[in-house]
Amino acid sequence: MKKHIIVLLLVSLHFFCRAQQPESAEVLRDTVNLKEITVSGNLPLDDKDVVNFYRTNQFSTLDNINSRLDGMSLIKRGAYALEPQLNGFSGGQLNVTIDGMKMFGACTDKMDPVTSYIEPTNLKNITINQGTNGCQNGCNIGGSVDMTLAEPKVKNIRPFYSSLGFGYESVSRSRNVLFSSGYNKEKWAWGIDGVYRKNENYRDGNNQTIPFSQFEKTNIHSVLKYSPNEISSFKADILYDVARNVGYPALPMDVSLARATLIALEYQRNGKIQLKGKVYFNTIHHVMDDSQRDSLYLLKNKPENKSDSVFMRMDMPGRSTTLGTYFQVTMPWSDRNKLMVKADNYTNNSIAEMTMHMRYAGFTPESPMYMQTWPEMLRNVSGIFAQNTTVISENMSLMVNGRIDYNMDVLKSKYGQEQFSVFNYSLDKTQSKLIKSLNMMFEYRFFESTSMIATAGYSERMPTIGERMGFYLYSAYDGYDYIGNPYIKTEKSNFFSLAFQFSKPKLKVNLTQSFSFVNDYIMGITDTQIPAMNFYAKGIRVYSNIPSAKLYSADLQVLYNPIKSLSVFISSKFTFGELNSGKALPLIPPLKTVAAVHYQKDHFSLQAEGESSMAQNRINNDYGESQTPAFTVFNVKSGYSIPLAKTVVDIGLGITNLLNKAYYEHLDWGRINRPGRSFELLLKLTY
Amino acid sequence: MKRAIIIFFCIILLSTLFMSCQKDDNINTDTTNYLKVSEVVSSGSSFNVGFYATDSLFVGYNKVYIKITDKTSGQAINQATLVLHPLMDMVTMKHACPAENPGSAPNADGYYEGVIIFSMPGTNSWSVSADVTANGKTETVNFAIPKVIATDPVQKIVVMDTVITGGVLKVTKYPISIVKPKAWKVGMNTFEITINCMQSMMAFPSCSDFTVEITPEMPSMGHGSPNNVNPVHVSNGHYVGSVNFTMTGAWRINMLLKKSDWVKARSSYFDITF
Repeated sequence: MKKHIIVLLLVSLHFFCRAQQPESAEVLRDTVNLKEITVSGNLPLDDKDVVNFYRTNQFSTLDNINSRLDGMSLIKRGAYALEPQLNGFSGGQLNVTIDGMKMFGACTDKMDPVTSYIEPTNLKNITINQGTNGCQNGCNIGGSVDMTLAEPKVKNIRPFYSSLGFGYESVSRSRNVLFSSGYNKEKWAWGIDGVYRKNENYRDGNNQTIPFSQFEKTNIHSVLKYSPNEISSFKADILYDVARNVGYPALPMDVSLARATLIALEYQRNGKIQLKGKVYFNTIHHVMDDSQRDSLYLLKNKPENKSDSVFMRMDMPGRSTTLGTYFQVTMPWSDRNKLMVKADNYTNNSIAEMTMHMRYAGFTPESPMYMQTWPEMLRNVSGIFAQNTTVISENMSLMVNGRIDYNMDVLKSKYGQEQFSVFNYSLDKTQSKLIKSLNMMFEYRFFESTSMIATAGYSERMPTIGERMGFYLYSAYDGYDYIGNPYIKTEKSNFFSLAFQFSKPKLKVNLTQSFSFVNDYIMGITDTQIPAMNFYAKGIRVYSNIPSAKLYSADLQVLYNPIKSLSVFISSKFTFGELNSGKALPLIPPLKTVAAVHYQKDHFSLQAEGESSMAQNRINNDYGESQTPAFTVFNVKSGYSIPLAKTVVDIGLGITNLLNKAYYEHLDWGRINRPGRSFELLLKLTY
Repeated sequence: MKRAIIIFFCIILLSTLFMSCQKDDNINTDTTNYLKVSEVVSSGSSFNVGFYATDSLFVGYNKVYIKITDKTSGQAINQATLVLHPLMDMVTMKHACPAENPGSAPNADGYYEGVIIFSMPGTNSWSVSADVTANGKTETVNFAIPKVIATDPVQKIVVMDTVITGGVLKVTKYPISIVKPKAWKVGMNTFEITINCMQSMMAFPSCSDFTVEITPEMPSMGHGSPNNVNPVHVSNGHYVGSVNFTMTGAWRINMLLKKSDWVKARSSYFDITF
């Protein structure tokens, strides 16, 4: 028990202030003066005591954890594949990577963020970097989310270990099977983990069933590791994730298949000079269609008693394939300095198509209507990143990092050029750009327990393929068809942040404030010259550079342990966004606070949570926004572990949305209510 | 360290392999495939005259190719004047259709390029007679056209103008045909049409005083396309503009036609499926 608490403390210390991260004995010996400073939320997923504060139920998807990470909010289009938003930044403004590996969703409508292909059981930890500082894996302005894949234990006391869990959630009749297993022998270790989930349509707080909120998914991840000596290792990962029959209640279409395959090979050496090299490949196939829908679904003046008068069916498949490699060296070059250099290259090939089939009753079917919503494009990015950390004195340190990316876009099919000739563009086949980022971070320790971290940085980011070459992409949020702008400029951000950290054994406080002054902010601007294409579209918006936008975010986290068995966790986040016109930036969440009390005694644990959000009245009507009322929901969960001879049986019981509150969050598209009261049951066997 | 540097460079080298090599599309200029429709070799004439097309002859704007060889020398004649007279024999009545006469010099392949805008389909009912003037001699040859097919959707429409003057109803037909493009694509298409005036059963002069406004739309979807350019008169009754299609499928190019001496505008359309 005592050991358990220590681990919890260490881990939470690790999470709050990575500056105090206990490093391995060997590294400490060589770099005794060096302490790494990075303001990043680092969530170790292999520690359930910490993770407990980040999830409402013990077998939840990654989205459930992400929603509580520092500065993170989720854009919701359905019960599945929620899109991460960090301090008001999302999509191409964020760098979402898997252990530094680039992966891009294949859906033109952002229905498959990379996080939807990863499960918590696949992961070791999630690291968040806010603002321009997260440029280690690519220049970007909003921050980075890096997810590290789980590794098998090498030289574990038990050669074979395994765990199997079953979870049931009443609100959506969700059935979940989770497993992870590992085997190790001498220098070899092998691990496998995976999930199977099947959810039916959930019921909201008004006991209404939300149609098209079902999904089914299977995920499997296997890893093989070979360590020829103490400091070197070779690793091979394979991850396969397939989701079928995924409903999106806020959209006019669903997903019949979303499949990702990832393969990665890694070499790592942890000596005085640390090396890491990786080669990876991933491919995503995303099939979106409206075969289950009434094609008049979104039409307000839909004829009475007529389910479908148009007889139109739409298929929108998309593919995204990425091949990449990186190599990084970390080395101390003096007593006080540590340098890290990373070189990387990746090539992404994306294509998304749309085919409409029209069939009026009694007529012969029309010939199919085809277009490429993302004309086949190849994007190659070669980058170099360098970061130097200097310990100025006992209580001061400075980190400087910078990155240069050379970006080349190649239109692979003639379709892209031909489609854009409609808008009087005569496009070159290739377009290249050099983009850069420079950041500085200064840490000052007032006392042993109190420190301040100030960051200033500049970065650019490449427009996404949709923002450059998107062709009539319907956004159900504002009801407009979006068109790309082939010559759109990069988005640029000046970023400043100030963080205060207080850390005493019983109380830890972390307050971060950040400002982003964005120039050439990319958003859709209405073009009245171009007629709308969908019969339910209000008009056309063309991605354009807005002169400027301002974003401010504040994150507060408090962890208080008055007595050994009790811990209180409070996490609060607030974002404010404004366009240069003075209007509100759309899709900005209001102040949200999660407060949790956790009690642990021997094998029993109990956690009560309150999740509360203010109303969002600062909205932008032009972008389909409407006011969102405030809400508070309560969750309770408990766990009991029964240690048997060699097996541990964990039983978990929980109730989310205890008061069956009907509510939705501001970033929920279509103002569709979230799930009502739900009972959860978890049974887990660990061997 | 040395090993690290070697590995580093290996990876960088490896990464250059991943930079995909683009294959450049080779633009192949297709050689025109001339198909013989009819040939006239009469014992009394001085020339062998062949009538060619590149595809089945259809109702609409057809490019036709005529090859003239000197019967005695067997040499191709590269200076000639040709006047084409298409004729439809419907037994009870006969009528012509619009045609464009070739220039006095043949194309690079030795063919004189002319145009016949067939107005209706027919099997063994169309014929084209050509007045050939070369080497100081003029001869008339007559080609039998075995078949002119109807296309779906049509390549030629007719706009009618009816005027009642002094109790007499006068109907004038204006055949409108698509010249370009031969194959439609997604994106910008150069749209060229011809407008002729049916003065009599035998006279179809070209018309240059029309104002044409086009509105492409997808009838089943109810949407159009942006940045279309109305065809304007260039020469010989040819009007050139551009039509933008945002996707494949069934499109309709709506046309509003105004003529300087018309009281009201007439509308018509071309259906396009690709």
